[in-house]
Amino acid sequence: MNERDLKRILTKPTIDNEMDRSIADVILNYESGSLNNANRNLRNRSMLNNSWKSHRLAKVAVIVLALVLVGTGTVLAAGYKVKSHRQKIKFMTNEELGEGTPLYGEDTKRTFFGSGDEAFAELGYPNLIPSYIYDNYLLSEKGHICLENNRDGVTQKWLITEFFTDGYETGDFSGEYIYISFIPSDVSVVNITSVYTEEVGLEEDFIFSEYTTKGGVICSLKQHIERGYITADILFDSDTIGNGSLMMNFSGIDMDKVKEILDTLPLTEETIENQDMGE
Amino acid sequence: MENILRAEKFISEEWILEKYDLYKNMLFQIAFSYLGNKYDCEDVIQEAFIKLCYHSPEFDNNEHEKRWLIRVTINLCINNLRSFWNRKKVSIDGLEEYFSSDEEIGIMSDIINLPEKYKTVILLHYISGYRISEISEIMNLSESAVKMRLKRGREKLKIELEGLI
Repeated sequence: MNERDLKRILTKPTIDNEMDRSIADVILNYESGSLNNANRNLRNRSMLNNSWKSHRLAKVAVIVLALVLVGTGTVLAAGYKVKSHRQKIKFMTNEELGEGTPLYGEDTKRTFFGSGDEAFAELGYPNLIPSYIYDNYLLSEKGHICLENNRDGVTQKWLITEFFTDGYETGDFSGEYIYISFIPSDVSVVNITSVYTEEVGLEEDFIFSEYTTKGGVICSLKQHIERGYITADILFDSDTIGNGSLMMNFSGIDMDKVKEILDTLPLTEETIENQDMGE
Repeated sequence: MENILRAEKFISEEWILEKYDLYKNMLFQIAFSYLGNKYDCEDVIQEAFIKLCYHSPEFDNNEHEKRWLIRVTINLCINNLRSFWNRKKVSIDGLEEYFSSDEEIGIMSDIINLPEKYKTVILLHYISGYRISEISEIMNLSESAVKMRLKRGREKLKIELEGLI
């Protein structure tokens, strides 16, 4: 191959008309998270009409919507104390999942919030994002996104958000990146099993560990061997705030800093004695 | 023409579309060489333009703006590749939409799988048309380091030199 061939191949892909309209629409209708409701609604319509939602969130949905609820429980009211549980994971190959397995629900609604308090309040929870993250990272332009996803007639509300290294002056946003998702649950999460598909990785791709925060909350940690990112899953039941599953994915951030961040989670274990001690 | 007040910036739709039309395909080609599928590219380009239009610093000139946008796009691609949601391997399906022959698909796969440090200089040289001295400024590397990376990148892709640029 010569240089001319290389240049021809590199410059062959171009934006098609559908993507062109979609990106232009989003850029033109972009509003910062602090806008009023009227503008936000306008933006929601715009965002829902483009294909931006289709890919990354569909991949998120692979895991989120594959959560298997086994147990039952009750949600009572009052406080910030939680009972944390270790995460149970089942790794499945695409063959095991089978072609007929419905992995993807349909995103039926999105609401964008600049304020984390407001976004979590939409789900009926206090803001669960560690304070260290707000203090040291930059919230993605998309803000906090509340989604409603319909799968087999069942609607699941959940929240996602992203934080970056502040690189607006330097253009370097690649330093550190945090992706967060929160899935509320009406029932106890003690028996929830997360299903990991091949797209996320196989069991041998991860190093598994655990960290108990200064507040006594169990965080199930997984470090991807090849890519280096660290995922922390916090599953909790609480008479105070309700039950839920908080997942934080840290890229470009070492384990010590991840633990420092987790120590600023606004959650405290009910009592050390009551902690789930695992299988 | 509608003027839009965005945070600290006062910009027009015309300005946004002008910038978008000017850079969109170059950035798409750069992003595609990292990500290999149009959906992730769409995410990245959308985010890069949002940063440009609403949150970018003041630029000295158009070239400063272009270099900033390229760098942001590459960084967003790297973030995407490192992220939890990235597919383990690039799917051929994403390439077949743009390349018809097995040979072209094979070459594009090699480009996508090229180590990042070689790929960046290759893309800046062959897509954006930058000379070695300019890549050296953009990447904050010595010219000899850029030359070495270009040479090794070409070797890995088995490119024969013909003094194209």
